[in-house]
Amino acid sequence: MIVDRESSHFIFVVPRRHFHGLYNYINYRGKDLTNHEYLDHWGKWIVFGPAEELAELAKKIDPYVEENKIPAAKYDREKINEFKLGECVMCIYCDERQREDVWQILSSLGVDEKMWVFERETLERWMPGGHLLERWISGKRLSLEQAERVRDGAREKFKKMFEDPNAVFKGIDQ
Amino acid sequence: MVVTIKLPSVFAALAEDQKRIQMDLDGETFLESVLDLLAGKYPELKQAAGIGQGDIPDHVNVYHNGDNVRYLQGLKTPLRNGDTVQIIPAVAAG
Repeated sequence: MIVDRESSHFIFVVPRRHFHGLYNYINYRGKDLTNHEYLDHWGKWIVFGPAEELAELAKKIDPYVEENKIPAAKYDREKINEFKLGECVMCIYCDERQREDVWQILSSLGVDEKMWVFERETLERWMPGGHLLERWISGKRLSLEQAERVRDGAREKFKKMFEDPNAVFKGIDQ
Repeated sequence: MVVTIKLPSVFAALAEDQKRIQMDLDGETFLESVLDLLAGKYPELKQAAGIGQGDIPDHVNVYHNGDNVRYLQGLKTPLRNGDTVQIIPAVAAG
């Protein structure tokens, strides 16, 4: 189902059962990923385009998400000006061990930009000193003190999230 | 051989608005040579993406047939006829 909450920058495509708390799409062959497995294997195909095109793609992806053939996806509601990318981005999530199966579906839907990103790459970039966090901080024109608080918050959040490598991964607030 | 370079809008604007650039090359080569050629032809792209300077900067991701070259052989990744290279700002992967 497509979850479009105006309060969120992202529009999500998730299985209906996940939305209702009856299922966790972050799994591989039905087994929930641990924190360790998440960092090792979870990632996404990324697709660029105008928001309207990504919305159309989301509608095409939705049935595959309901069938659990594609775990989930999200896309930008609008361009993020701070990032000066000039386009919106869709992330189509899956375990790297199933990524070629997911790619075959995307390819059949007309996607021809093939770019895989591990979640660990993204997380590293949102850590203090990481390119994305620092760019976000400078885009928001935070004071040195505010920026340091943001960095401390990020450091603490990621430490808590991954402190037990064998615990089931619980997701990231977005 | 022919290699296709794909660029998102932000970089295409610095390469005569081309989102796809086909490069004819003499024989098999490495990613580094292709990025050097691209940087030589489009100085603004060179500056914005930081390509053609002996390294892949942290603020861009370069993909070879869908895989980040950081997980392949970096600039020494060999290219073959029909391959695709994509250069994107790292923010896009967030």
